Amino acid sequence: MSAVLQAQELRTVLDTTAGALRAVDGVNFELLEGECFALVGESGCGKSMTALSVMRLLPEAAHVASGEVRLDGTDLLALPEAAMRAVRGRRIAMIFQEPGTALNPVLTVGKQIVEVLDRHLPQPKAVQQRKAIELLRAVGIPEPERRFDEYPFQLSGGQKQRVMIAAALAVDPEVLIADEPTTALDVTIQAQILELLRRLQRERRMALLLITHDLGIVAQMADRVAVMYAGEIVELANREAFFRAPQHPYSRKLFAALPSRQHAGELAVIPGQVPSLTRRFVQCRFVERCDFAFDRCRAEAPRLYEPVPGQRARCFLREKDAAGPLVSSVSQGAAESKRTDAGKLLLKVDELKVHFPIRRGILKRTIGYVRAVDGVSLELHEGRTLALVGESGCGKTTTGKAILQLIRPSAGKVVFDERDIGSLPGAQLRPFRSAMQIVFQDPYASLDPRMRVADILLEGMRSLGVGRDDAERLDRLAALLENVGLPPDSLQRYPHEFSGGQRQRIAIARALAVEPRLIVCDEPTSALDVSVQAQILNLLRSLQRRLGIAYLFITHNIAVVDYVAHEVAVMREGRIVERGSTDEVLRSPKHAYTKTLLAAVPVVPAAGLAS
Amino acid sequence: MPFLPVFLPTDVLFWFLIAGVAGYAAYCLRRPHLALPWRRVFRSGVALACAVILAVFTLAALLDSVHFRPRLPAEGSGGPAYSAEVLSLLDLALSGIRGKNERTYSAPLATRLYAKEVVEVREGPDAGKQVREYPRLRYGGAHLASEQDWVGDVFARVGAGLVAACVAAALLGLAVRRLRRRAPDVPWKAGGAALLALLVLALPIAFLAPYYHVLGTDKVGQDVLYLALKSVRVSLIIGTLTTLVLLPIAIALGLMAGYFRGWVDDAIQYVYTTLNSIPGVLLIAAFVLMLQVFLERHSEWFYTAAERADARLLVLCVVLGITSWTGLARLLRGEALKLSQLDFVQAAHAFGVPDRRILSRHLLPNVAHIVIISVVMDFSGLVLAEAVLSYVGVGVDPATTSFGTMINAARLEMGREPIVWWSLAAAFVFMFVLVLAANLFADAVRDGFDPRVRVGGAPA
Repeated sequence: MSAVLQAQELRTVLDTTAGALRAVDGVNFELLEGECFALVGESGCGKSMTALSVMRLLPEAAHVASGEVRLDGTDLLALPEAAMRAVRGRRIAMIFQEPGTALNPVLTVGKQIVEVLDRHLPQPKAVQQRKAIELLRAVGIPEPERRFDEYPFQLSGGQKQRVMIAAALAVDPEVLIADEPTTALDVTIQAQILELLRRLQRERRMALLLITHDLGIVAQMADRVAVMYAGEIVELANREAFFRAPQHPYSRKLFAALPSRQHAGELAVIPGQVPSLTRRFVQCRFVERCDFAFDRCRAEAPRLYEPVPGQRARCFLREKDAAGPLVSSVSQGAAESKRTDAGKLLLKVDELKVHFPIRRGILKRTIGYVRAVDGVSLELHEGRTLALVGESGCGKTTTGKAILQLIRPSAGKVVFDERDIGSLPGAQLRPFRSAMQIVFQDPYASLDPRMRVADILLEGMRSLGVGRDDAERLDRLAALLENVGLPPDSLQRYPHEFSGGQRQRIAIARALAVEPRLIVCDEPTSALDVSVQAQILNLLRSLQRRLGIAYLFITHNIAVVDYVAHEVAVMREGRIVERGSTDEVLRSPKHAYTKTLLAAVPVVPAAGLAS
Repeated sequence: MPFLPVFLPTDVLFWFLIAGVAGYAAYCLRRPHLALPWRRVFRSGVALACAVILAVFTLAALLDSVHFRPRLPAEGSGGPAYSAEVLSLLDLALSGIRGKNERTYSAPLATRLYAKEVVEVREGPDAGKQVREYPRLRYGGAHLASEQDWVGDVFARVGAGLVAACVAAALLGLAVRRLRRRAPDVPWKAGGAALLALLVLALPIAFLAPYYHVLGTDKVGQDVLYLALKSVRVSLIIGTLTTLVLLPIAIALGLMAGYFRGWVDDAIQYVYTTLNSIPGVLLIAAFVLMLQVFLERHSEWFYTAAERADARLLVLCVVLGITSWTGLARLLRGEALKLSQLDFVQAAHAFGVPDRRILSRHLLPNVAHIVIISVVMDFSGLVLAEAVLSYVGVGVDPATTSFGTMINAARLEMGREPIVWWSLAAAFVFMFVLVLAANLFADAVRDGFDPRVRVGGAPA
């Protein structure tokens, strides 16, 4: 097979206030005809910038400093912009992460596909319309004739992404770049979209450059894999070889950081942070976080070595011999990990309902209800974790907030520590506020950017009267910071000075500051990278072991559920469809929906985790 | 005491405001996240140049906001007597051109009046005869022995002014170099250039002004340059004090509407929608006319005419504030709607933090940038609004000099033949420079505070 697209020594520089940031620093890869090539890496590693450099769609502050991108021999970077416009869409197409914003909301779906056709293959209107409908059918949109005249808001997220794919494939491009195409979608929809991409790729023999952070998707889709770290490709291999025996220490750590049942003990974490790309590197970029670093790593930057034919890694250890297959750390003993002894009943939710009224007209008459939560019953014991699993919009977050009385439930009982708190007026709720806390999904939105960390942590303690005075509270904070693994000088700093993982630690510390017995964790790790997710999950588990806190863990990530939860409740459309111990629900699901949900989760092959 | 200090209410408020701004600046400097957007603002050359120009205007207004009544020479016994005329520091600084009134119009730099008069010839063969001619001015060019020396004299004075400007330029260059070494990322050159441009204009004028009416005189013979400089204070006071009235209303109602929603939101929305649908000029005219009657009935409250005029100015600020808070309130309502859904506000709820603390600790600091941007943007609008209102006759007291009253007076002059253009031109140029500087500065502030323009926010 010949290479369709080749990137050689691609360097992209971003101008920031801190200086030139080398987001992509000497990347080489080739995309073969009809293959799926996956670029994997954590946020900030330069994978999206690589794709945007290829398309020449970089943001204003960025530019390609040097290198070549060859499409069948022509250097795209040397083309004038007018010629490049003829390449974009016609020969290389791209789909983006957020289908909601990639479509123009004021144009019909059909128009947006016809627009692409019109630009590259001018034909009579009727022919184009027929072709567009054909495309909509090909991407699996039901009733394409009707959908043709509909607006994006009338479609679901998955359908929008299908439309995007249809528009991208309208003129049979040779290369399709998919930048996190399913990250914004639910697992079941993700499975459908991935299946669609795979089918279309096979039918049209097109090359697919897939950009993702999810090793599960890579395992399902890719023929070859490149792992990016700090602007460089650190490992390049065939899928089978990569999942059997990743060669770079970073790749191996990524696998070890994945939560799953096999990883019963502490998850491996990658200490430290990605180095700032504004500085120049003479050493290996991973050296500060690597367990195997030796003197040479600090003095010299490694190139890509080829320990196994066809598998390259940027590590001196791989200069001579290959690393063995991955061995999982299962042996650490599953027993010590999850507390199994259940304490007394802490929280009992009975037939909880949250209905939001729909109001219309001048007098705001209620004409109906959105039944966000429609009869949910749960039980949670002290020191245990209950995972609430479901897809977006199923009401799991609303359930969490209704339990905390952040949203007042419309009906049903919330019994906390043998008191029904659902019926209490605001003032009498205060004693319970300190016993129940919440940790949010987005660590960037959950901390007030204008307050110092000390004020953020003290706010709850002051409000709920935890501690006698500020001096005593500050004493407690010092211990608390150590508990969640933050440096003691954090108190005087502002949230923006911290990374995502550290911010999530601050959010956890804020919840812990008032000594709660129950923490509602609302997708606490879904905005984080795998290695950071591992740190937070480890932290949550060790806190539970030491302090006996109960968690209501709201998530859509089945692997995380498997790792942290004792019990699982699967939610769908405001109701719980299945409830039971983690093993029962995940290993032998009873309800059809649970089965679909579990089947849709892309799995990292067991060979990659445990041999 | 050689003088009796007079504290006009607008003076006091204006100084408070300046002190408040200085306090805010000091507060920002100690907090990096607050100082950062301002650093970005002053990294733009245009912004720094505009800030220099605005600072010069502000200085003039501040000097004009320290009022006193000079002591009259003692007459007989009794306590010291003070003049009924209220002066300001600016009047002292401008004593070279203040009070040198001609009889009526004279053109810029003229030596003779703009209107023919019947004069008696004093010397020569025709002594005692009455002639109709353009008489010599009392002050403008009065030092010239012969009017033939006029050209040479004007050029000499302009030359002297330019030499002084050159000296100033050299000093400025040194200062800029030193500043650049201390803070290299601030475009000191642009600031220096703006200051230099002002000096090149101002110094020759300063050398000319004691001997000529550089911008001519108006109908009653007052120096137009003096009037224009005195108008600056009114503009700045309207532009800034109005925001003092407007901000508390807009912030309180806007945030409450967005945060509490429900009937509070409905009520506040009804109020500002209603207020918005009444023509602003109508409301202001009604207020001002009512006030005029009220002040006339209580003329015993005021010792001097200046105090009465000042009261009217203050009321105008209040009225403008009451009618123009709706835009900002609407913006803040939207922002508060968004913010109150954010997780950190939800977290505060989970801690049982009371609403008033959430409003003051979480919402207010997070909308501060919008408030700052809108204050700076509103400034120029208010300056222009004053001009329009005074033109219509419902603005400041007719005794107060402002750009609006100058333009109003120019209405008649434009119809004259030959035309009297200099009052209008002076008012126009001064106001144009002030408003343009304010607008450009507002743009830079908006860019500096806009998170989307932030460099380096691109996805990786």
